[in-house]
Amino acid sequence: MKLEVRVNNISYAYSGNVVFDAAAFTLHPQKIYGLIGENGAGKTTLISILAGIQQSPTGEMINVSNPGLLLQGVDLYQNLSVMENLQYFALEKGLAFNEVEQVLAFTKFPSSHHPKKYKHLSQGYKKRLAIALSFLTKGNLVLLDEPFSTVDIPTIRVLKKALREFVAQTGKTVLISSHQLKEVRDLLDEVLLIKERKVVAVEAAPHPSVHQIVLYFDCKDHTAITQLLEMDSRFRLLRKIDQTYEIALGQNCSASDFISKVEEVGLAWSKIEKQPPLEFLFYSTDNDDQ
Amino acid sequence: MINRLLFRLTLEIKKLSWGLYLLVAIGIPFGVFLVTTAFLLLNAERMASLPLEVMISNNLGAWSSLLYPLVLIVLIQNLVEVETKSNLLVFSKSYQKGWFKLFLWKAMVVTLTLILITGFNLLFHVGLAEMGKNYMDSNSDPSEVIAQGSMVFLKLIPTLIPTIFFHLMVCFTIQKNGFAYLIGIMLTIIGIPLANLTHLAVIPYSFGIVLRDPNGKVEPLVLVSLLLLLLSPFVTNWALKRVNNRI
Repeated sequence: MKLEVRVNNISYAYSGNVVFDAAAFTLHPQKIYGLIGENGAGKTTLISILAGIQQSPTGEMINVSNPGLLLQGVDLYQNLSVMENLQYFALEKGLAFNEVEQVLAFTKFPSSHHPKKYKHLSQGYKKRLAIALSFLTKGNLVLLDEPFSTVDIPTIRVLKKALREFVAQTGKTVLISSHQLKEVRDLLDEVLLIKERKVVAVEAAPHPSVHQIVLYFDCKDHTAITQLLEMDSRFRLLRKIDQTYEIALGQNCSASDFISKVEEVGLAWSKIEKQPPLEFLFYSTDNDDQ
Repeated sequence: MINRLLFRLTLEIKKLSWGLYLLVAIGIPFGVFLVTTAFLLLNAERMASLPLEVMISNNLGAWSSLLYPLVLIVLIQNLVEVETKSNLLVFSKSYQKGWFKLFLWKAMVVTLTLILITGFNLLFHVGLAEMGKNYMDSNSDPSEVIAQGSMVFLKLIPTLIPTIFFHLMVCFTIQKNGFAYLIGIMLTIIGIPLANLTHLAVIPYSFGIVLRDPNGKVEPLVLVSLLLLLLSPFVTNWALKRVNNRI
């Protein structure tokens, strides 16, 4: 039976800067968690605290031991093959070699690549191997820091499927820190946000306000959308991040009214959602320069 | 259990590039043998007046004072670099509490390579002596010269194990490849006159010189060696815990 991971009142400071102040959260078995926050909020620091790399936090961590880990900037042994790298870490972690076969199967690593040296692998396969290595653990927690960076879309799809299968079959918990919020969003069961030195659980896509309808509208034509908003006072721009516009609809105005208006002016758009993209959960300022 | 240990040892060696490993383990002993043989054959007339012991002693001197320390430095630098270059020491903190095991595996790989190199050196030493006795004069029985020289090569193995421990400690502690190289090479160079003048085992890279020195003091050599064997893994473990606390 897998146990829940509990972190109670973790505080951590580095060079006088307080990164976490009595942060607390719980991770349940068989779930995939996302860890989001602004740059420098402490995502990698939190992962390395949970992994046991940062060794001086105060507080309590329950059921966190020997977690599987994928860290940015860590390469495996260049002259060892895929199989040898995993077997090496299996020996180090006191695991049987058949577990190596299992993690290779989860990540759909082609058997033709097993004897290939790490240095001859493509970036995508290197990442796949790093994720396979993170699955190779006795612990009930797997920590992934930017698992989808430097890999292409088809590989991301394979890796997401691997993560889902791994969690479903092993009952372990996965915590993912990623900047590619659009890529990970559909993978996450729950989201943790690092804000003001705390870790807060974000309910699935909270609405900024219960009194008004807010839409998230993806559009490349900034001039056209600005003109539309100036033309029709029922729609008000709240924020803009990249090509996504957070638009508040006026009283007695529905999403279909907005879509009709967009169609009427012939504005090219790619997506309209009521759920806020993950980046809207922690970015507080408009990107007016775009 | 033994299979797993042997497999682990193989992996530790395979972490290195085979090209480099073969160069260090076979290339250097063979290269030195070839150069010495060429010198002997090209200067056969001049060498005829010299006793065989001179050539054997020079060969032993070159290995004990300079070549063994340099070979060990190159090998250890590369063994440690595969761990430090890719942040794998930081990564390993997630599943292990200390670095004693890693340190001892590295020491084992270097010691086994030292034994391998010595094996080749013994072969080449016999080859040189056999060839030399046809060209050179000899005050004593050539087979005795061979036996004495072989014994020195064999004694160098345990004498150099503390050197291995010391340089592993230097590399793991400093983690800057160039700087660790510099320290090793500087100490090797400084150690040669120091060991010859003081007959003392002060610098770990010149333990081979003290071993061959007729006035060399054995007790300090043993004492310093034991200290290095005991302290180096602990200092390394302590240093790595401090250095790698952040990614």
